[in-house]
Amino acid sequence: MSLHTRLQAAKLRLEAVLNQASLHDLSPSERAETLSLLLIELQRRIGLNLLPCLDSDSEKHFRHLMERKADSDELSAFFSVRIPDYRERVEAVTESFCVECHESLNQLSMAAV
Amino acid sequence: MNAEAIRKRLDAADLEELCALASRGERMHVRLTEVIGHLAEAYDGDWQRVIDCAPHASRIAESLIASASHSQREDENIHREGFVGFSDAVSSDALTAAQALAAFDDSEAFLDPYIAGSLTRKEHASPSPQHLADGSLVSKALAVALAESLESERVESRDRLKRLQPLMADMGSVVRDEWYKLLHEHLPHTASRARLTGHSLASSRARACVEGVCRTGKAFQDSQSSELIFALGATGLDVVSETKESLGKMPYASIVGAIAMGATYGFPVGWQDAKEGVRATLEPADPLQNFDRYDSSHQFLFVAHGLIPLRFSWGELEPLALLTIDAACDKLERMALSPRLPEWVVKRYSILATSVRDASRDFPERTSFARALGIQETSPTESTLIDGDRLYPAAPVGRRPASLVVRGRANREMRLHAVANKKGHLAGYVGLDPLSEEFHGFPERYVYDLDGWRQGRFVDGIYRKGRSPMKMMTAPEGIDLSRHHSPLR
Repeated sequence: MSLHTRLQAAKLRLEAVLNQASLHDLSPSERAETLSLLLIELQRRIGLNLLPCLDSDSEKHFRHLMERKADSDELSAFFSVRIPDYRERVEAVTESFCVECHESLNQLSMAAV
Repeated sequence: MNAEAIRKRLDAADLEELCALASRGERMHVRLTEVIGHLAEAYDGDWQRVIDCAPHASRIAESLIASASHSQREDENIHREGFVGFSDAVSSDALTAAQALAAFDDSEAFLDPYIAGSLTRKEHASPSPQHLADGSLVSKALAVALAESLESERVESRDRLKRLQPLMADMGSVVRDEWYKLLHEHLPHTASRARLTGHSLASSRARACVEGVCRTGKAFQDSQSSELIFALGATGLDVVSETKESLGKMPYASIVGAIAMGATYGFPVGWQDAKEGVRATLEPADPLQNFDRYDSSHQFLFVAHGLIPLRFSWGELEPLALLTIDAACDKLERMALSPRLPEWVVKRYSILATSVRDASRDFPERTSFARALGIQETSPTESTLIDGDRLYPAAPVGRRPASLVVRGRANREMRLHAVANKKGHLAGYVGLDPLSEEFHGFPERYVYDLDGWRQGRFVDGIYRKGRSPMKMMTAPEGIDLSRHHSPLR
């Protein structure tokens, strides 16, 4: 599955935030760039949320999975076992991130720029 | 190479690599400004090293221009960004900044009057260093860029953020509030600066937003390993997306989401119960069908208006469902003031309230919140009145009206409105005594229970049990609800 497909859902949500903030005027390249930067930041936020759930063993295991480029089944199994509520966490972080972006753009639209 | 990869590789040797990539025409999803900004951070104020990198950065810009089929305007932007990035990075003192900018300005591209002109657009006196004040366009551009870099308000707000950053790891709510306050003060400066350097209003805001969230993310991250965090985040997001895709093979009709509609498609909504199946839905908008949300273990309502999808549990929305739109939105706005809930949680309430108000211009005082969301209205739960309860106007349910007219003493008309308690259960009626203002000079409202017996007064939205001090009143002791078209039975 391509990165584009995998990130589609999160990307659409962030795109929704940009549209809501009346950023329709962004050129396609600016929009793509903004979205990719926001997605990268979203990944950091998700990582920051999930990291405290891993003990040192789990962390080692995860690094090992990364090193040997484990497939999605293995990664999914890892998350199910080590962080059983990872889906809720990812959802919550994604939503709070969207709200943060929305707030930020709202503030900017009110400020004289 | 993407921004994530570049973030991890930020020394002069890697800039060489970037030069090579750029000259091979490989697409880099990264701005020069970012590379330079990260470089400055990585060298932690060692400006000489940053200055040493200037020729590399300049070469990257040149290579990008030479290798890609950019338009003239984009070429200018590449240089402008590099230029602004350097002035940003070395804003500690004017002389160092001037040296860095001079180093970066090896290429003749900066002599382009358009670029210099765009940088001199800001009309204020520029504290230009002596050796740059020769009247040329480049000097003007450099001077303005320096003035911007050294602009006291922007630098001060940025420094305040930097001072707060080390405290963010502990994440006390006070620190966090202070952070967002400072950030919201700082971002307009960032956007203004982007405007000054030729970006559109939308682009400037988008850039400022990105800077804001990235600064916040960095502050949260503190000294933790970037590599692990990004890998964990990217993998977590991928795994969740994959799970959703496999669920996406189920019939879409069973995946009710806030399949976004926004202003174009009307008000979007639906809610689903994993055990009982779909309870209500609006037609999903075809172009956005991919925007599915599904959860196999919980019931969630997804509200998406203005294309912002928010997730609410039914438990959160049930107390609002029966209320009128006005009352429900007032309640949501009051909930949004709660200091006990995380900020992003309460913000959802105000966003939802705003969205519903915007979308429901017709009869917000008569339409139920549930209907505004497209949720199927069910029979209301009834409840008894409790002294001190806040009561909210309830909307009509089905064919039943939410208000009725009764005859009080002296055959005076009295209009009663159904009210719900804080749990969203129907609790009784409230009616205004028409004589109260005449005799006491202020309006007095009375509360009746579901059987039609007067129980107390309605004061500032709160039910107060007991008799009124008024001696003369129109409000009868009891109402024969069977004679009326009751909203409840």
